[in-house]
Amino acid sequence: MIISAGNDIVDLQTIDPARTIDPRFYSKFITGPETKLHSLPQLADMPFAYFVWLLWSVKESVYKFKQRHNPGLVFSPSKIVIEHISLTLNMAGATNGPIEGQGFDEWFCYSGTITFNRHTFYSRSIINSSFIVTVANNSENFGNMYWGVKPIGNSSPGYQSMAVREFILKKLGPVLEANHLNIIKNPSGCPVLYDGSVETIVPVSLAHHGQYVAYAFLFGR
Amino acid sequence: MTRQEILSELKKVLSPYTLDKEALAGIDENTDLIKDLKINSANLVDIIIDAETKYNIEIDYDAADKMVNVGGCIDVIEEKTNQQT
Repeated sequence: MIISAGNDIVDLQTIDPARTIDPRFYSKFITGPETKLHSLPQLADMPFAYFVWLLWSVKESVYKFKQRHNPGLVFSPSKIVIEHISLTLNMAGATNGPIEGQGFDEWFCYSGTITFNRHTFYSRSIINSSFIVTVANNSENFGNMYWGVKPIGNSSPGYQSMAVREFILKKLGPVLEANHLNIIKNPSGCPVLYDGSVETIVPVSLAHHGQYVAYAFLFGR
Repeated sequence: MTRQEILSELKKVLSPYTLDKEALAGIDENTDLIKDLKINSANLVDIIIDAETKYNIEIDYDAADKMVNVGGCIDVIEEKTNQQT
């Protein structure tokens, strides 16, 4: 089983709702059977624009999970097939952030089952009126998957990049009990965690969109 | 349209989605939309829709997959506009 992490964040203040619900837009990455998932009882109350971006977020997270071990992989959202999405009613609803967690057992979240290149993947997404955050995994057990989402005050790419690194490193330091952690993107654009000059085996995933940044990493057995 | 002409027009399509105007001014066929122009992946579909509107073409799933760098975008626009003539 490959070890990886993949996440995505959608800033809902940044999207164009009118364009989102135009079939010409969403049909570029959502297939007919996937569109029908919106009529599932658990999803029927969700605004269609949120549904569209939820599916985008799931597909992008799965792509990022898979791309770590397939550097040349092209993001083909129509080939990442969302088979099912259900709502898991647990304790906490999300605030506007920052929020962080280990696994999703305590969260009010959407659970997805996805197939891509004959492999099955799983996703967990938290949605509120400000953002959609998703984490993908190749196991239904998210217990060792750490994640976080945080609002930032500046949406320039340079600031987003700096802020998301600062955010994840603040969590990784105490979890890994390491003081010299650093993240460098490899030539294919995948973030790699180093301890000093030594590459670690901890897979990390970073995401930013508009006024939000998010991370995910897998640690522990 | 030559590839250079398409590239020149493509800058206008990409412009709303990148803050890095210097990088945009200097694009060539190898420029990666996400890595080099810092375009958020959430805007890739916007670019496809805007290109469809600008050139009055339809870009299908397979063609859209190629639009990750400037050369790929030009390939798709060139191919689809040639199909119209």
